[in-house]
Amino acid sequence: MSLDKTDALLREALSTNEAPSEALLGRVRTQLSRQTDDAAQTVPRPAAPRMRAQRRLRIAALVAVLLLALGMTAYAVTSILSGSEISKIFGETTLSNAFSKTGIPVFAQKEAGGYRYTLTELVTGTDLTADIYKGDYPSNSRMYVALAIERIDGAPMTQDLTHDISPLLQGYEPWNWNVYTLNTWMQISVHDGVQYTILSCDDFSALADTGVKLIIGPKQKKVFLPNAFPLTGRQATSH
Amino acid sequence: MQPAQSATQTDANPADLLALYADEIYRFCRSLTYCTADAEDLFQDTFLSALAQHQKGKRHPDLRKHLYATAVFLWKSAKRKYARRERVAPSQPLTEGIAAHGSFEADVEKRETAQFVRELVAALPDKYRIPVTLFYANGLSLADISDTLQIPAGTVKSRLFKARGLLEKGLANRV
Repeated sequence: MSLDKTDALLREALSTNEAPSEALLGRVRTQLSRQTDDAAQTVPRPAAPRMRAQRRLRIAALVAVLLLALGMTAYAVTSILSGSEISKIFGETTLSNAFSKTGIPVFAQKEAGGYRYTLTELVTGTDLTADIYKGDYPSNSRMYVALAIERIDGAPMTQDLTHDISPLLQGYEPWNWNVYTLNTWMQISVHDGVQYTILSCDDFSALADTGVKLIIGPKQKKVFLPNAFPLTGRQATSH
Repeated sequence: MQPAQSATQTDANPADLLALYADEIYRFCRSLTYCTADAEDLFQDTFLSALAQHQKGKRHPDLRKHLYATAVFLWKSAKRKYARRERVAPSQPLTEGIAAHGSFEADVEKRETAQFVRELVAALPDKYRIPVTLFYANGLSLADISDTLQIPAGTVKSRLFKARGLLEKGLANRV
């Protein structure tokens, strides 16, 4: 087949005369206008002390449960970058500062399937990155989790999306509360052969007392298929 | 397919760009996602993200390319979100621009071939699929694609060449 014919086939197959509907354009205009108004009216205001104390308790509970999920193993890992350093790789200065000031270091590790997974640090806050998702909760707060994935055999990781990662909430249906419904946003970068991920999702620390797990698995294992983790009643157990 | 107005207005607000680039950005989103709902999400997120960057004081010399680059970035970042819908509901074919000008059988054959080509393109890895979509669906030049994806023009050219080769192979194997 000649190049010209292939070109023509591609142009014909991929061309479309579709246009955004008026409803969509109206919706986007409204959102843009709202975002502009919000930016003009936003006045930074510190959270009330009592709320902050409750929030810290919730986050502490979340860290405890995440540690449990990752095998109760905590190491002082020196070769893995901190949440602040990982954020700098992505050029996220605000997030980097947030990790430095209010980040909760975890450094929990789990080895499985030839990989070593390290949950390094987490932090919550509003507008720490430029991502477009806003939390579903009134506070618009987002949670940012810094993760590192490396191969146990020392081979360098690639820039590709090699793993599926999702938070799961104990007692909540995984098909309703997961990486997708929590509006998860991920940034991935490889540094010195280690794949670093900043995972941002709706702040679920309010639900930490129910039990939160972070499920991570290589993509080819298809960890999100229904038979990948057994479910009994309302309980979900991650592998 | 260049827009009539200049695309190099660094001070233009993304809200103002909606009217200017809505159609071509939507077509790009549609070609990437193959699903109207996902395309609408990606389209909306692209303009909101561009506005967020504008509000942070980031200015881009070519906002048209910046919108494409934002859409590509969002697509790659949130692909799982869009892929979820793809698993739950099958993709919806594009409304083609193929004009009916032959016999009924010829038109049917043409549409089936076009659908097959779209499936082949959808199966390509992103590094081939995105340049192919930008080049064939949106008519961007090699230089524009190079700027948008921030890869050398030679790499764009070689990826398009490789993608064409893969598509020809797929078409040759078609039963």
